[in-house]
Amino acid sequence: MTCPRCGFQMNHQADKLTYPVTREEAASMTAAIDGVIEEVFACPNCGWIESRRADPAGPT
Amino acid sequence: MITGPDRPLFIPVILGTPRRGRMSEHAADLMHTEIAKRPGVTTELIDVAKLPIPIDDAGESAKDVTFSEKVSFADALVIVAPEYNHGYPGLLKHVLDTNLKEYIHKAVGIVGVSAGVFGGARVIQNLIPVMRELGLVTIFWDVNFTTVQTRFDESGTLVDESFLPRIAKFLDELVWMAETLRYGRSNVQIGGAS
Repeated sequence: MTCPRCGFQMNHQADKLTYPVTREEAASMTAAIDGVIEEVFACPNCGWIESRRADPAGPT
Repeated sequence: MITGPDRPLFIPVILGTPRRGRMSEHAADLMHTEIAKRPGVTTELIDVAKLPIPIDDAGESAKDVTFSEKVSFADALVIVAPEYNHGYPGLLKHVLDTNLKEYIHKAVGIVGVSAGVFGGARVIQNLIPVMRELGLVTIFWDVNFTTVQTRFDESGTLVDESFLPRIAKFLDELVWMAETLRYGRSNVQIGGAS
């Protein structure tokens, strides 16, 4: 992911368990995970933080 | 926007109560002043009473863009929290809940405030599991303003300087954690090689 503030390559620093906010996300949950994964990125240059929902079909 | 790996640490202070006549404001002002004295650190006082966050919604959909930007650029937070009925102020939790990704792998130190002799020890203990779930990393130093009404004069000046060495230790640890976590956020990839 590229930093939207300064254009640097961001570092994938965390996978945070969070909770669904839509019916579709709730439907994609598994009992083992009990939530949805948010992938969190940090910019080494300016410090900006971004995130995105992990692909529910991806590796857990 | 300051860029580069050697940019100053940004450690804002969150004043966690909107209560009228709050004495926590003196504690927050003091923490802000002490942080501002540190080389290589910038700070700002954020007052939950002044944030335009709606109370007819909750969570990230109630986000205030300006506050979220400050938290996103922050390397650590200092939360000044009075103890209300053994818990934290409701507005503080409401405000904290408007962000999530912005907190991940950042340091937090908590300053407890009370009129009694426990100095907010119970509000700090109650905040720690919230900090953990938000992705913040708590430090092992706290500052406890016991009998806060005796610690500051009417103008908000600290009258008991015995607090200063403890605040210095608290900030030493917070800055260490903030620097370490900045390195990790910037360079260490989750689940694999960097």
